[in-house]
Amino acid sequence: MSAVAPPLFIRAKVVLDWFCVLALALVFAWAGMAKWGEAAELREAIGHYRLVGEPFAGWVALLLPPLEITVALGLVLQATRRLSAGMAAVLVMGFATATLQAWGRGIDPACGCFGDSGPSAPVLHLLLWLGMLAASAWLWSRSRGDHPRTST
Amino acid sequence: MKISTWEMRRKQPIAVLLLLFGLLLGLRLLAVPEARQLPFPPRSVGEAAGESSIPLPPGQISVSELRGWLHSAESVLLIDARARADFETDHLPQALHLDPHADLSAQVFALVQSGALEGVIHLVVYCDDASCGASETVADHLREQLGTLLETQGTDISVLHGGFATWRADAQETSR
Repeated sequence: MSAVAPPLFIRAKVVLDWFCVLALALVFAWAGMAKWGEAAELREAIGHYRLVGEPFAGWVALLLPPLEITVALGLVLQATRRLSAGMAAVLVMGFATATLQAWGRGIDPACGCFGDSGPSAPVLHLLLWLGMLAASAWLWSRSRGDHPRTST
Repeated sequence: MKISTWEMRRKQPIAVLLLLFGLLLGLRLLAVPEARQLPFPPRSVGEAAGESSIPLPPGQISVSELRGWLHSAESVLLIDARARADFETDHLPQALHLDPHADLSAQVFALVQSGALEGVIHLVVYCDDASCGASETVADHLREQLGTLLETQGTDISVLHGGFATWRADAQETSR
């Protein structure tokens, strides 16, 4: 006899799936759109981290906003959700590493994560990263539905 | 012949995301002309003189910024944090000397007593070049000792990026 999951439990998981998708997608879309038109300002903000010099700061400033919006759109599409969740986790870990090393060196990089707005207190940054990592991990694990199939 | 559809399914999301990314990147390059210059920052006069085009860390200003301040109506006070002998040989116009190796508190107290800080909007400290730390030491000391006073009168403290060497390399005026 196979165990059947209670419908309420399944519904809760689906609701959580969509909550994570929408929350992550909104944050990434907001971050990407806020930086979309701010080319020079973004390069300057990246330079404040003192992690990469020119021309890498310029390349990051060019590629980051489209990448963030790609992740946001990819999360909404079922077919690309797992890969996008993985990319979201990598991006969040990258942002966290850059900001933590700047703090460690006594630099307040005024992150520029969301253009001129966004969290300023370190604790809010930490909460945001942890929440986004948790949501990414949840979506990554929940999208493991593909199994090897063959056809003739 | 058996064809693995799973392999195709695995690669499909990558293709979709790459396509999306390419479209968005193209759209950004079309919509934001400034973005096209991002990987190729133009060389400035200051860069040719040794200033980096990399955005400066907070609290530092470039020679061109300082030049702009000096040409504006805002009051700027320059502090030379090099050795006394170097200061006496040559220094930036109107600069005052603070010796980072002597009693800084007493020197700063004397500076306040002299009234040199009154009405100053930008307080800029410099030392020999980008590798010297004396300007940072003096700037930190000024922030610590005069933080409240400077905050009250709206004075900011900056360090000149590249120091005296960059200023002189940019063919800027000095005083003896």
